[in-house]
Amino acid sequence: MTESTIKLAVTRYRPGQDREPTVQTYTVPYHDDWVVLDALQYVKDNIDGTLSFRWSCHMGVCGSCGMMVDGTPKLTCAAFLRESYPREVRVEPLANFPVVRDLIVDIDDFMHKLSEVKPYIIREDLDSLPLGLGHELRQTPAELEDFKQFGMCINCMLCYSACPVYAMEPKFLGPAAIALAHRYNMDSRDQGRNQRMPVIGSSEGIWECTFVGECSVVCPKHVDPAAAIQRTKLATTNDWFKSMLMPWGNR
Amino acid sequence: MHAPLAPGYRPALSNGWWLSNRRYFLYMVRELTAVFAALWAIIFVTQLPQITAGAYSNPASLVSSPLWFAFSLVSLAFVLYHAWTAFNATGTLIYLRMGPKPIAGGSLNAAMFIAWALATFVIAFVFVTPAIGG
Repeated sequence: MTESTIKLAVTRYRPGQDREPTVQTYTVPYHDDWVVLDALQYVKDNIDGTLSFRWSCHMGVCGSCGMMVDGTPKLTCAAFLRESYPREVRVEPLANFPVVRDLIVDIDDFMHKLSEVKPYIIREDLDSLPLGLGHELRQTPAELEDFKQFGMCINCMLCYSACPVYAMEPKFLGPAAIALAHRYNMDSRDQGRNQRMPVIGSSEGIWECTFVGECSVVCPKHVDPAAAIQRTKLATTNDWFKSMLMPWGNR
Repeated sequence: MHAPLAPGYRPALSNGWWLSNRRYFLYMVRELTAVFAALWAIIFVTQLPQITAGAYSNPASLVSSPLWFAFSLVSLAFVLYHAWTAFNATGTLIYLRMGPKPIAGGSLNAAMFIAWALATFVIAFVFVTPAIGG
């Protein structure tokens, strides 16, 4: 009995050799339980060792293997071949990012934006805090619920790839960075909101978003970056009204 | 052999990106329906002095023309669609927690639709009905 096969149409781009990306088709064995990443690894190990792509954990945690699968941003470790079979599977680098080589994109822009929003707990009273056993910054389950879903982000950048605003305006801070800023702004232990707001409240931050909503649809961890952005818009507007009506207040 | 290229190839966004999936298309429809709402409102406001002077019973006026009637019907449909999308986004926009659990987004959306229905009722029976002699 002959083995079932499936075709992969993979985007290739070799800097210094190709002026623009081309498509190369590979035929690989089809297995019901194979994901697209398995097929790419089969190509690299058995057909063409020059094919380049990022991956690490193979279990939807590290966020390294995001690519366009049949035109949709997906983690290739979670995109099964059976979703396309018997059709050919189209594999491209994540949209909206510069392509470094084949399926590898340049993520420097995202990393820079991520550091700009200070995605960590900031305490203004750190020096005077009695730290150590028995002095933890405690939090109720209800307070955890306020931000928990936004903390599930794995920085896979699928949301940037799905965002037409980011495609048209690369200066846009983008969904994941804002979602993570919102995660820390909503954390009852954090005091860094005022440090983050100049970045996320700028014209290249939340106000660039037109609420397309596709970022939340493609998120493999069910984070809702679109909600984070709209809620931050609402909070910023509230702040503005308060500052106009009560200019003598702290906020 | 080609000259060495600068690292990184950035593909351009196609003009037809909004046709590449259904949700992008519906987003564009949502945005465009707001244009009709704004246009209708601008024309209505500019015609307000004529309307208060009895323009609806004047066949020569803009607001009594079939074209205005047709445009108003189309605009109404678009405004209803736009309102439906906006109210359905309420649960995404607003986060409220009562006690340990957040209020479900669907409940917030439903509250908006109920408020919409109540407002329509009030406008229809308190303002419009007496005005047309009902």
